[in-house]
Amino acid sequence: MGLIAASGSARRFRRSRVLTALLSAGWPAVAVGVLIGPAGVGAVTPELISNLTPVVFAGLGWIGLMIGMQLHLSVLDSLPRVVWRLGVLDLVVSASVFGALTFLAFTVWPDSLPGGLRSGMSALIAASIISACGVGWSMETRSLRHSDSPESARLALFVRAAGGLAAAFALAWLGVASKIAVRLHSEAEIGGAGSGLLLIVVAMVASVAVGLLGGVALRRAGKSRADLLAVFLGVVALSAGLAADLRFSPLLASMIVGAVLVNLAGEPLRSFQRFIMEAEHVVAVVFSLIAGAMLTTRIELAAVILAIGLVAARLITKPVIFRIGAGAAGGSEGGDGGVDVSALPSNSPLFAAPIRQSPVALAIAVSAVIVTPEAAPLLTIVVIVGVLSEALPLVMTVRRGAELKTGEADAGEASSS
Amino acid sequence: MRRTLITQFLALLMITALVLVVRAVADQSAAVALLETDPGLLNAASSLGLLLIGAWFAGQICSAISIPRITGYIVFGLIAGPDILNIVRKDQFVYLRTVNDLAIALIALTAGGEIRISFLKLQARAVAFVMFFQMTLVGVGVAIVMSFFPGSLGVLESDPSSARVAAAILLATVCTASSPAVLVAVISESRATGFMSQVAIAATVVKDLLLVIVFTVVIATTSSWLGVSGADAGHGAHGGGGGSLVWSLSKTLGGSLVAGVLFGIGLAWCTRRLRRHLPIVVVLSCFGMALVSQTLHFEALLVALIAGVLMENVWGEESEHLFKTIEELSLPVFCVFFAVAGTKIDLQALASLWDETVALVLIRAGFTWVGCWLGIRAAGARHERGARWMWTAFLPQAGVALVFVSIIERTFTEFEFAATLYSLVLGMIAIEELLGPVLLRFGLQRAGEIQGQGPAGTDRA
Repeated sequence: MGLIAASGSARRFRRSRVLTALLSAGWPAVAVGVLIGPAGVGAVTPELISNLTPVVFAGLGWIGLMIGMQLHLSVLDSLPRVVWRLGVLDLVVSASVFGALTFLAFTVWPDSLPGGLRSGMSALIAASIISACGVGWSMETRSLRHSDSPESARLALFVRAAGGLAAAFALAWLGVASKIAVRLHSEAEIGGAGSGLLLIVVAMVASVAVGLLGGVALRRAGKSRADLLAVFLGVVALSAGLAADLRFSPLLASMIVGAVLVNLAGEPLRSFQRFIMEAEHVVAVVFSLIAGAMLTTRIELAAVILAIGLVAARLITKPVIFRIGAGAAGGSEGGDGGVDVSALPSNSPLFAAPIRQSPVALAIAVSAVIVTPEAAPLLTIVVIVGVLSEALPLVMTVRRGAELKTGEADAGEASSS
Repeated sequence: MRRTLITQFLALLMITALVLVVRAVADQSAAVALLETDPGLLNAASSLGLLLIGAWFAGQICSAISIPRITGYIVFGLIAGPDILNIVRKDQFVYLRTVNDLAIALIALTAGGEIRISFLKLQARAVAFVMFFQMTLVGVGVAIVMSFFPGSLGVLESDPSSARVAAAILLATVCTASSPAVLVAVISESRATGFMSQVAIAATVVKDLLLVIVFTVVIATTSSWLGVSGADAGHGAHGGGGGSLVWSLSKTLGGSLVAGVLFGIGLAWCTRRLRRHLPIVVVLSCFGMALVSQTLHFEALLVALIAGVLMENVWGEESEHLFKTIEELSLPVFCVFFAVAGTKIDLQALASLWDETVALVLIRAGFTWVGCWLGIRAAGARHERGARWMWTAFLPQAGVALVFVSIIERTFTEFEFAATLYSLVLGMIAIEELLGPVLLRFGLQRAGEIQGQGPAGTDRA
């Protein structure tokens, strides 16, 4: 699946906007994963998934590292203020709304929600994971653009930049929030204080240390691709693995390593970045397959209602956050990097882009399930939200496309008459 | 250079210390203990990372002092393993298995790429004779010598007389195995090419495939002599009559052959269509081969080998890019594979039977040398450069021998000799794993097959 998705034949399919949206979100791969996994025909057994754990951790490390490698100080410096504003606004609102909704659902329906969630995790831990999944949005914009106007291009760029920053915020929020949630949940049981904080500090220090040592190794590796690959894979697996040892988020740990590396390693890393980026699509598809195989189809009605509630929350909050953040509400334009949205038709599908769930959400849910298999229903909730949240922008895209075609036909008729 | 060495050594120490500190903090934390997930499972990821990057540093250090890198990987694995630092614990081995299988597939793919039919046609005699004499001499020689020392084999006086012969034959069969992985790794690392490298790879690979059959027959026969019921006749073949044995073997070998051909065709298609993504193609294909073999009880080694041979000999043009990519990917795979092998070295077994182990290593080395010498002479290849050092290629032992002795231990649990043979072979593997690559590299150097180095002296067998 991964290879076929990366092939030239598959690229031809992506000329269609609908297929682009579906393929870039990885949903077909998730579906195949479900089909071949324990919930489907059982070709991929739970034992095999368990044996693949170190590889899944390395995959999570790869994703975290890729996000971290975008955090070069010069890039962050050059980001317009409005992107930061949007990122922070999205983090605060999304984390609060999605976290509160999940917490509420777990409190109201303690008996209706899946048993694994009740026994293995508290409502607070589930809320911290789902809230992190709610932060940010999909950065794919090609399927939503019908116009090549400069404002449209700028808005698309804006969606991608803010989406990228939000992904980093989501990982940071996940790392801290889930640890605090675990701490609060376990306070009564283990007593004492500071253990949770100590683990966070140790995990972060360890990540920085791995980044620094990785930098030394990269310099020693020179320009040999084989050596660079060995070091890269070692760093990825080690950072995610140490985080797992401390029951810390492997995604956040690797993101820190990526940020340290990209700011310190310099030339050796830059020569290798291309290889990492080339593999991005295939890694995403393979990861979606694994996510599908880990997914459980046995969830109760309450979980489905929660998922629908989360989609509704996305539909309501994300466009508002985006319009405010993008500068429309404040009318700021140019000075802080805002976008003149009045130049775009109000029904431009690009405004619906933030409704779509971030692909990082899938990785976040997988990272939770791999540590606590009882959390598998959370992965299912995330997948339902992801699929449903793709629908509205897709409908808008198709309708906008039809409108444009009608408009062009009318214009053609008028000019001929 | 000295500064570079010190930097690398310090980095290696710091990475190891970092993992130890993190594990210590995690072990002390009650919050960590709250989650009931298997610690072996969660710690396997950091162990994998440590083995990869630590082995890489160790390999760099060894390379700087003219020792094969894989010795560095193995030694680092040994240090990180259960007998010394215990960072990689025994409960993590099961989670490193898939990665290990992936490595086996990649190594076999490389070995397949080294087998050129055109060369085999020319040197078929040399390959056949070297393989035959080495296998026969080591097998028969070790069996005869060791049957005179039943005490060393752990055979008790109360055991039936056939136990002495059975134990000697079983040990001798294990001794005939060598390690294609070590051979491919050392040849690939030192970029060696020539008569010795090519004949050795072909002979080792074919010999190991034959050994799968021979071992299955030997274990079925000896268990029948000793009246062992429900014998595990090795490699997916279970006891229960000759017909069942033949069917099981045919299924494993035939299935592996078909799977290898299918993977070869798939690889050729991918190489043509997905040239930009070749590294991913290779990794995913090797994973595919490992998982398919694991699920359907095929031989991953054979599946990947057939795919490699097909690629090299049928789709030669396409395979050039593929094998270049495999070469680039080999380094991290070798790091993990040999470091994991190092973690499995049993120092306690070596310490408990060190004198018998050393004697066995010397006997095996002696018969290997004689077998190769006879094979070379019989093939009329004694004037070929490198023929004299061929024996060094058959010394290293690793995975195959370990699998064989594990099956022996499982099958003959009720006999004392099973445990003794297990310890004896583990000790032998420990020595062969550590010294084998060094000797092999020395042999390749003397044969003048290492690129950039001229022949060291004139070789005349």
